Amino acid sequence: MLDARVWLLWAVTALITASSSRNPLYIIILLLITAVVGSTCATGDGRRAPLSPLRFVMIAVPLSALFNALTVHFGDTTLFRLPAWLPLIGGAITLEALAFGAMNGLTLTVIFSAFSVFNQVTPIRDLTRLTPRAFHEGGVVLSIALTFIPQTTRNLSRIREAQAVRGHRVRSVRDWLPIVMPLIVGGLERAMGLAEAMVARGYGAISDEGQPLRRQSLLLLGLLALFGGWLAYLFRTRWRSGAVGAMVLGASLIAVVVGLTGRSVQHTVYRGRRWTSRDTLTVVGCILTLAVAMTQREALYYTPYPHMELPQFDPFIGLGILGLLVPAIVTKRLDDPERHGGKGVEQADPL
Amino acid sequence: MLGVLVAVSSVLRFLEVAFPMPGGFSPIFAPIIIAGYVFGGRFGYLMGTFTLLTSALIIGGVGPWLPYQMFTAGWAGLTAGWLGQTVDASSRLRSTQATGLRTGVGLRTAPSSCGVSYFTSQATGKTMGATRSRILILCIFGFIWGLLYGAIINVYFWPFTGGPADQTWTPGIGLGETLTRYGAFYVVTSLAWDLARAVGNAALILVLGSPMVKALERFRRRFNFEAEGHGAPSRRSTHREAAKVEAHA
Repeated sequence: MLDARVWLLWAVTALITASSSRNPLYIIILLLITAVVGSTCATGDGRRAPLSPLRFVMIAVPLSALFNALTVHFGDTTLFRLPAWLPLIGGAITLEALAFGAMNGLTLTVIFSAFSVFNQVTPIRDLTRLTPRAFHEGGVVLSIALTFIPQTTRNLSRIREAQAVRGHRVRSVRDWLPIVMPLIVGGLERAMGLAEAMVARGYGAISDEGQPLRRQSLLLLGLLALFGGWLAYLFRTRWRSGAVGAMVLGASLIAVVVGLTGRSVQHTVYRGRRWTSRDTLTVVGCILTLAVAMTQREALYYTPYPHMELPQFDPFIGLGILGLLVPAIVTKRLDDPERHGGKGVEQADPL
Repeated sequence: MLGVLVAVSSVLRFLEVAFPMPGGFSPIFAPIIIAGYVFGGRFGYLMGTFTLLTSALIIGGVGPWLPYQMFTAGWAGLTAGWLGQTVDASSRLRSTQATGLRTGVGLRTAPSSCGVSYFTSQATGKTMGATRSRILILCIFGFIWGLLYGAIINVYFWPFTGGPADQTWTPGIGLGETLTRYGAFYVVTSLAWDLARAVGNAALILVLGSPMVKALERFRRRFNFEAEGHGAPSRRSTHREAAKVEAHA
């Protein structure tokens, strides 16, 4: 199993690469990579998105193609025409607009698919551990919420069953009241008990020191620089380099304040995870893909307008994108204990 | 309390899956808005952000959209807190005038340590009417945030979207032109979807609002207590610290 931070880097790399390209050949490679990595690395007991990538592609691609074809009346190859008096959709329906819409749908599918894999392969406890030390109080809230969810879900089922026995059926929003209110009141009663238990264990004894004024001022300055730079980047094209500098400065200041605040928080980890060679290899693969996405922007770019032509394919860019396939190569499947009748163990690090 | 309310609110997403609702309707916004209204802007903001984060962790909804969802839901809770303060202040003002005119009885507030001064109208007896009016205000607020949520979330992908020139963003266009194009894009692509969320929020607050506000206000009073012992001033601070723990729980 790879580190959660490595998986996050992998998903962000897929996001950046997919966003940088509209070339359907590279996008399809990315889609295949996410499918292979998902099928190789997901253990089956991970969290599944409400919508599978396969269903997503079947919805996103036709819808996006249809929307773009109906609203963009540009391109040389006219398929048919809608009456001009129809607002927005009236005009020529072109093959180029249809293709561009389909490519947008494919790009969205890659992003969705990459984060579906991320959700399936990273345990919730690993994600919770990513909480910066500066936000330790938020981490406590998150841990409590995650701990209470199974119990709350059981209570929800119990309440629904009890109401169903009384003949209650959910037909409209009004019928939610006998389900939601007992759930909330029961949850608040449990909160009361938990709060008392935490006070009894001395949680309230921590000193309530406010942040020094200097750090607050730095944070405010960082936020102003970040958002000011962002607005300037969007609306003042002449100030672009200055705007980027302001954004970098702002983000750095925020990072410094978060780091300094986190230093003052004591942090202990029970059974911390060790960084392995598989993590390093995956990071190298992601850096390779990111380098290609950043340096080959023009080669990655493709537009079907005004006349659709076959997209170009550069094998070196294709190889660079294959850097995202590293997790599938370095991670071996967990043995299924049911199927093999033995203990399911992760195989030893092959490297 | 925040953690447990976040858990309850996140579990409501399972209801959304079990009983699919039209368009962008989700039952998680009504608890965020009502909790923000009762407990204040800070609590509402945290409730909004943590509800979206926790539910995304559970249902596998982590993605580039998540920070936008968290911030927007947080802002809904934050502004609900401001709304609560405004409504409380205005009703307090009205009631001061009414009680002053009729009976000469002034305000009765909870102990200052509660952090919340609540009003009991002894002379007018308009509690039911006041409850109805604030639920109505909350319904309108929920409706507006149903639309605003979609309008803000769209921004994370809109600048990168291809489409008609009068609906897409291009570098260098001014703020006015950007807003005009975004307005056109929003009406064409999102308005119908978001209307379902807006109507759903209003309906859910109409149904759940009154009992939920009462329940949360009751628990707010239970959580915010202060024991003033003779000759033991240190207990005040102890219980304030305890209240902080309860807010986390």
